[in-house]
Amino acid sequence: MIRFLHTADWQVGMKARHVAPVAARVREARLETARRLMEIARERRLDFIIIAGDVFEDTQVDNKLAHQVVQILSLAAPVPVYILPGNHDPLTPDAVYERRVFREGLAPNIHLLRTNQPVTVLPGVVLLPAPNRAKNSPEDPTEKMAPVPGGVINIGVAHGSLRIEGRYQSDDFPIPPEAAERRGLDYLALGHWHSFFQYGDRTFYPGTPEPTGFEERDSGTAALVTIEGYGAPPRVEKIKTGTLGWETWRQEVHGDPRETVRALKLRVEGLASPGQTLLRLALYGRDTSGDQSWLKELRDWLEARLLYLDLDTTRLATQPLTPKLQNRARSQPFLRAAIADLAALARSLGQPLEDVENVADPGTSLDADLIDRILRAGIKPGDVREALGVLAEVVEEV
Amino acid sequence: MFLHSLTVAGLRRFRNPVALTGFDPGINIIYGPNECGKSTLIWGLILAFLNRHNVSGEEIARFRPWGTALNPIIKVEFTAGGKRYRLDKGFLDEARCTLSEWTGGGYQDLARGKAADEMVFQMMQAQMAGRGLTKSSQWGLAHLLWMPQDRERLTAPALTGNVQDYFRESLGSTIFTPADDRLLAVIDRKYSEIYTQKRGVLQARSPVHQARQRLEEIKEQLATLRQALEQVNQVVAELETQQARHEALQQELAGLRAREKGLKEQVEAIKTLQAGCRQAEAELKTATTIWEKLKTEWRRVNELEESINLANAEMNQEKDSLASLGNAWQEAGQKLGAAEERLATLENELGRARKALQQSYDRQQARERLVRIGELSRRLKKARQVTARIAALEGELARQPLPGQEEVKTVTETWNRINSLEAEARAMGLSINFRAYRDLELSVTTAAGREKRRVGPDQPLLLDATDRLALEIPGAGLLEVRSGSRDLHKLLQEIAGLRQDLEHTLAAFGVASVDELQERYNWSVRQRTELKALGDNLGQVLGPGNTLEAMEKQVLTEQTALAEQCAALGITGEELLALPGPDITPLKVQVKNLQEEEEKQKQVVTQLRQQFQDLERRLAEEQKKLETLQARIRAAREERARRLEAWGGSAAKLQAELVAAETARSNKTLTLEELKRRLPANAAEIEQEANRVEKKREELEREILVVRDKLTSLKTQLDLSSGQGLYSRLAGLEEEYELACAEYQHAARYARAIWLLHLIMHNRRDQMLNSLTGPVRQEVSDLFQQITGRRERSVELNADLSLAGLKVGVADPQPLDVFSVGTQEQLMVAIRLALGRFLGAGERQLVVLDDALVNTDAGRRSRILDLLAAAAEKLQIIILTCHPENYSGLKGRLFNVEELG
Repeated sequence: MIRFLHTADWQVGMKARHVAPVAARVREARLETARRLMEIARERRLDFIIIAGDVFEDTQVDNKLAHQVVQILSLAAPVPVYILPGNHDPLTPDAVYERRVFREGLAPNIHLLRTNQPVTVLPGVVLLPAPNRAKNSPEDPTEKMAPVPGGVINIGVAHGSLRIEGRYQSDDFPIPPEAAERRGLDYLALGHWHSFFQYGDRTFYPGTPEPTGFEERDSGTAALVTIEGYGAPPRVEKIKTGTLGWETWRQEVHGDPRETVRALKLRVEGLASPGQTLLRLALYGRDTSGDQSWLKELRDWLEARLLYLDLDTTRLATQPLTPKLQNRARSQPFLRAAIADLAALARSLGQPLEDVENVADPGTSLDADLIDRILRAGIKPGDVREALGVLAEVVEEV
Repeated sequence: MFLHSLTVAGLRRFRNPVALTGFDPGINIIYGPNECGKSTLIWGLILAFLNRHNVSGEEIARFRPWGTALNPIIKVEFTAGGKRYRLDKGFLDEARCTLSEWTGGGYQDLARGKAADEMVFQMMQAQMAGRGLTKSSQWGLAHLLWMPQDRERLTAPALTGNVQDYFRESLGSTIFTPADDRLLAVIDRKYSEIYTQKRGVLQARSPVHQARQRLEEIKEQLATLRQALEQVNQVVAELETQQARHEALQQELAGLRAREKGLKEQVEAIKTLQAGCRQAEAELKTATTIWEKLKTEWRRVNELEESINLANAEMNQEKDSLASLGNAWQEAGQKLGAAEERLATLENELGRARKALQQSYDRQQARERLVRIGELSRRLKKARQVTARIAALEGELARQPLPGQEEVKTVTETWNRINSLEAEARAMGLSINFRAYRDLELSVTTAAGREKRRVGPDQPLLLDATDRLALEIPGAGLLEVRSGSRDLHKLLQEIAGLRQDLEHTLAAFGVASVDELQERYNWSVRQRTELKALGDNLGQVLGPGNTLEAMEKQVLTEQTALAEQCAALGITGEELLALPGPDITPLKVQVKNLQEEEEKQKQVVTQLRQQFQDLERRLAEEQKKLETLQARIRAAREERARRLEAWGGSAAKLQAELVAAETARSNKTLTLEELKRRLPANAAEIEQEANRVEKKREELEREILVVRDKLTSLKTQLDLSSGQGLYSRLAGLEEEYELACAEYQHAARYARAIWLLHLIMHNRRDQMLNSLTGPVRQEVSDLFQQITGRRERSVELNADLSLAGLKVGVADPQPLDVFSVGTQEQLMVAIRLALGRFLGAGERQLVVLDDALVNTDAGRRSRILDLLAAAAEKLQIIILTCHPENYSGLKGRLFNVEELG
């Protein structure tokens, strides 16, 4: 019986511009997760570790990261680690693996699968590696896998997409879904897809151990594989490995927004570790309170507790006029006229401010030249709402 | 507000109180000459209504009557807001202010001091000055309606301060509240924090600008980084290409090396065979050399034998031929001797004939010379005669002085001049006409001499003389007449001088008269002509270029030569003349015949001599040939014996050795042919191919080295770039860009909102102000058109009612100072009347026109008076003028300032 850890797609050095304010933390989390994987392997006394490609996000990551990764891999010692170059870190002339850190003085437990030659990892256990030598290729990486006969456990290691309709590109190292069976492999350790995925009994994607974005599903995982012996079906345990939580929530605002705030706070407090959570929150519905201070308060509260907040209020209808602005507009003809002008502009731009019409004179229209000048200045409908917000602030100030 | 009365005291020229009471609610004309105090009265109103009672400083002090310590005191009765008031105000040392209201029975104080001032200011919508007198812009309603006589007279008023609201209220328009102003001020401040006021572009210090700058900086860095990454990709691509190339080259090199090895082995085998061939060839060459040498010896021995035989046969033939030639030679020698003897005879005969012919020629020549000497002697004689005559003539000419042509001419002219002067002297001289009663003979003495003349009754004596005349009349006496004329004397002196010169010249040539001199000259001319003719004759006799002496010498030479010829011929000259002339022709024929015969004989001799010599030469040759043959036979025999010495003198032995050498040579030839047969036909091509492959292999190795260098260089580049962690830097920068982008978008959205608010609110404000200024503009334009009668003119006002310009037709507004002063003051009046019409809609207002129409023509002034009369229904108008007659058409109250006080 052998037991090994199958992981892939560490994507160390990944860009995180979609969460730019915490990008460094997101990158650091990937290293933390990698360390944890090594610790798992060592603690559970696994026979070896397979990393099926994309340890690095790119060939041009900085040396510091390469050293950090080597140092992390050495933490697994004496458990051997077999690294397969993937499409993000292929064996091109500029490969990370061509650097000195991977060429000289590498820890004895770290093995780079540079060729397609079978590698005996244990007596009776052979890895059949298919390292990627380019970022893209229409060739099937498993095609050259030639299992070693004679009751040897053959484990294929490749990086590419299973040729499942709608889930692959023709130049994305397409792999026949039945490759494991067709080649007579005991296990096909794949990498490339970031979600945990199983095809048949012997083909597995372990998923990226650390999620890379809000859209990913079933990521932050690794595969703990046990094979009893030659020909035996592998037993695969999906283990959760992610350091950071990536949450995407939608919350309706209806009636009193304070209820919404309360509900959201409860939900956040229910998170295992809010400080390690990145939240994309979309509010929708209608806020008729006319007082949007709750929104600011909510934002402040969430930002204070979460690692990162992406608050989307574009589908939340709010009253653009604060109560004070409304009152002042009723008693101040000039202010009322200005608001009416802004409302007329919003109408002209195709996004009328319905709530403003009560205050402003709906018959107001703007001079065509003025509208033309405004359009030439690149003013957008959202800017009118922003202007009303600023006006409300000015009224508060005066 | 309008006035009822005005009392001033202690104000400039008005020391004592002066009161103007009973103001008409319509037109009031205050008139008087210049400096009578009209404007001072208006200043009384300004101080009362528009200045604090406790105002201090130099400005108010200057209102004191000059040289006094009096203090300005002003009392005014007026109606405002439908109520009648009295204002009692003192300044400087008597500073006070009391405002009283008419209650029906009298005035009741409403306020005093500052409170009273403020109430009045409120009525006038005026602003209180901080220090000193108020400025006209602070006068409120008065600023709009009063047209004082100062430097601002032609400046249109603007809607400033409190009067704006008052004005808006009067017109019933939307009101700008102070809150609105504050609102706008805050927006303007926020706008100016982001945009420049002038061009509306982003301020450098604004957050949006800085965010954009930051964004641009990151963009640039990103571009640089992406370019670097792209370069890495290019290097990778190049590296892969070069690696593939390197691999291909290596494969090609391996193929070439294998091929080169095979070819070189073939070349080595070929070279071994070629060496064998070369050795066989050398041996064959040696065998052939021996064989050829023996063969040559054998051939030579045979040739010598044959040669000896042939020479013997030839020698026998030569001996026979030599005997035959000897006979022929002897016969030819005999013929030649006979021919040479005949030739010698002919030569002797020819010598004699030529000598006889030569003598005949000499004699003929001597005779010709004799004739020539005779001719020369005759010409010499003639020449000697001519020469003697020439010498005689030249002697004659040399014996006496001879005048030249010029001298003759000068003498002749002098003579003629003397004659002419004498005729003139005579003309100037004496003339006597003596008529005698009887016949007389008398002596007449003149300059020409003395002569006797006869006179009588029928024979008068007519005498002309120069300077003197003497008549000796017998029996009567001597009558001498002398001329006293100086001119005559002078003339006579000149004549005497000329005569003296003439005589001197004639004496030099030895002649007595001019004619004689002329004759001497003519003679000399004739003699010279003859001399010339003689010279010509001598030349002809002597011949051209010859002289007498040369001719004499020639004759002598000819005579000497003749004597020599005669001596040679052995005869004298006389004998020569006596002998007949020689006959040369037969001698010439004889000589010619002999010459021809001699020539023929010479040819015969030559021919015979040649035959003889030929035979003699052939004899020698044959002899020599025979000797040669004998020598040749002897040499051949010696050589044959010498060549056969090596073989013991046996030709058979030589022959046997020759056969053996030939056999050895054949064997060597067979060996060589066998080796050559074993050599491949394309041995050269194989070697060339081997060389070509070797060269190509070396080229490939060099190319591989170049590719390796490239690979090393590219790998170094990659190592360098990998060390930079470009992707990681790009990741960081892209995230930074995202943050900067968000920051910029936020700032930009805020800036756009501010820009939009600024635009919308100012636009709205301008619209509101335009709604106020529009009717005023129309009213001013209407009034101005009525005054000027120019319908195309209209007025443009700014939002604060200040004058923007005057439009003519559809052209852009022009500044007011483009127009005449009269037009300007008319427009100012029109503005006051228009503003008064709007402000007076609720309450009668006071309009003051201080000397407003001084530059206006009568026509326009008349139309203005009509407008003033109409306006007076709602306005109180005070007109100050020094020309009251200009306003005589107006109904109203008149105040003569000179009659006041």
